[in-house]
Formats: sequence, C-alpha cells, structure tokens
Amino acid sequence: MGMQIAHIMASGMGGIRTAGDLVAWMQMTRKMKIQDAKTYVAGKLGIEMIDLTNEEIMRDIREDLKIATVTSIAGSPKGIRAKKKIAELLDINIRSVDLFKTQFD
Amino acid sequence: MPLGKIEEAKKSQEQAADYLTDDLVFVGKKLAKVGLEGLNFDTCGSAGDADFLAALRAVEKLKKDLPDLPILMGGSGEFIIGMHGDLNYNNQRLAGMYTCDQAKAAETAGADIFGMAVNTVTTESVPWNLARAVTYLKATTAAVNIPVHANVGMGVCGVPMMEQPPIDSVTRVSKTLVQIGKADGL
Repeated sequence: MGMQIAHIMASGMGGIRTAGDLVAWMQMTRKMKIQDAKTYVAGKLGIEMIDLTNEEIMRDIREDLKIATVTSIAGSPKGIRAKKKIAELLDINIRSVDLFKTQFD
Repeated sequence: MPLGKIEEAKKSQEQAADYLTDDLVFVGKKLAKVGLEGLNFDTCGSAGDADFLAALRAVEKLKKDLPDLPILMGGSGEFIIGMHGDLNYNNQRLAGMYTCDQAKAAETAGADIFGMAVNTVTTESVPWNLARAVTYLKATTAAVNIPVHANVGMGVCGVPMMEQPPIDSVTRVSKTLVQIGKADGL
C-alpha cells in the first residue's frame, strides 16, 4: 500500500471523503478534462472549486445530499442507494444504478 | 518469425488480433449486462502493434453497441513496438506511435479516458525519468480533448522500478505529473 498512499496524499482529491468520486464520474461519463469536471461538480454543489477537496465542507454537503460519506451514517443511503442520488445530482447515467432501478419494478 | 517466415508471422499476428478483439468485446458485453460502470483496457500494446489495434477495434465495437459504457484505454509504453510493422489505424501506422498519437487513436476509437504510460529507464535518475514523463504528458494532454491519466505503477511515468518505491520519490512524481504535466488523473 506504500505507493498508493503516497499518491493519495500527494495529489489525490479524496474520493468520497470529499468530491473526488464526483469529479471522476464526470470524466468517465462526459469525457470532461479535470478543470471542466471540477467546475461542473462545484456548480452542482453550489460551492467554490477550491472547496471540492475540503473535507470539513464536503462532509456536511455529502451528509445533506445523502450521497454517502466515508463513514456510514445510520439510516442514511450508502452503496447503490447513494450512487442513485449521485447520478441524479450530476445528471448522468450510472449503469449499475440503471440496472438496479429495473430490478425494483 | 525466428524461421524467417515473416509473412506467416504477420498473418498469425493479424489473426491473433482478431481473436483478441472478439474476446474483449465478448467479456465487455457480458459485464455490461450485470451493471458494469466502466471498463479499463490496461496496458494495450504490450505485445506490439497488433495488440494495440485489437484494443482500438474492441473499443470501437463496444462503444457502438454500448455508447453509455465508459471505457478507459491505457497504453503500455511511450512507444508502440512494431512486432508486425504494417498495421494502421485511421491511416496512421501503429508501429512507432508515441503517446500523443496513441491518445488520438484512442479518442478516435471512442475511449472516454486515455491512460498514458512512459516506461522508467532503470539506469537513469528519478529527476531524469520524471522530466521525460512530464514532457510526454504535457504534449499528450494538449493533443486530445479526452481526459489523460498518467499511469503511475512501479516503473511507469517516473516512478522507480521497485516493489516498494520510496515515498519521497513517489510523492514528487505524483505532484509533478499533476501540477506541471497537467494530468487529468493518475
């Protein structure tokens, strides 16, 4: 794990601890380059771009929007249920969520 | 090929590439049926130009049938080895293709992200290797409209070739690729 942790600490955005996963989704689903993806996500969250990696701010936002936090909150969505909310928030299709929805009807 | 049967060797590579494309598409479609969120074709071209061509064709076919499936296509080095030598994609010869053109080919095929690999030269220093990787990366990110990620495993893009690369080397490489190389991700 030595190398991975070094990369995470040096240049990682923080994943679901902050907004790293949301930015990654925009790269994957819309082919957005990093600046465009960050601008898009910051706009959807209504925050400044610099706050995307601020854990203090993102923890509260993720809790309010119910898009999962790094430590789960009792009764709050996590896993695929949180991912459904992420897809709605970012206005994207997440294929696992689409499959999940078809199995609910 | 060791027997000097060059034409036969080329034909066998072309056939192998066709089989590989079929396999990649087969697996991709099966996974897509169970909710696949994204597919990563890693280390494309490690067996040469025929290998890279097979991956490009697979990306093309999968994106045609499954346009909403995100695909990351990663290279295996700064230079595609010409094990065949006469294979083209979109009128570009694959053998000898550097990362800028690798990324353009991936973009043309429909890949959503290109993963750039530059092999670390083990006889040179970390700064030497990092400078080389950053040079390739800056040119590659500027060449295409899709995100470019730098592959940063052991012995790639400036990371030293060892099982446990030193933290001070890895963090310098990581930060430099993002801040100076303008990587869209690692």
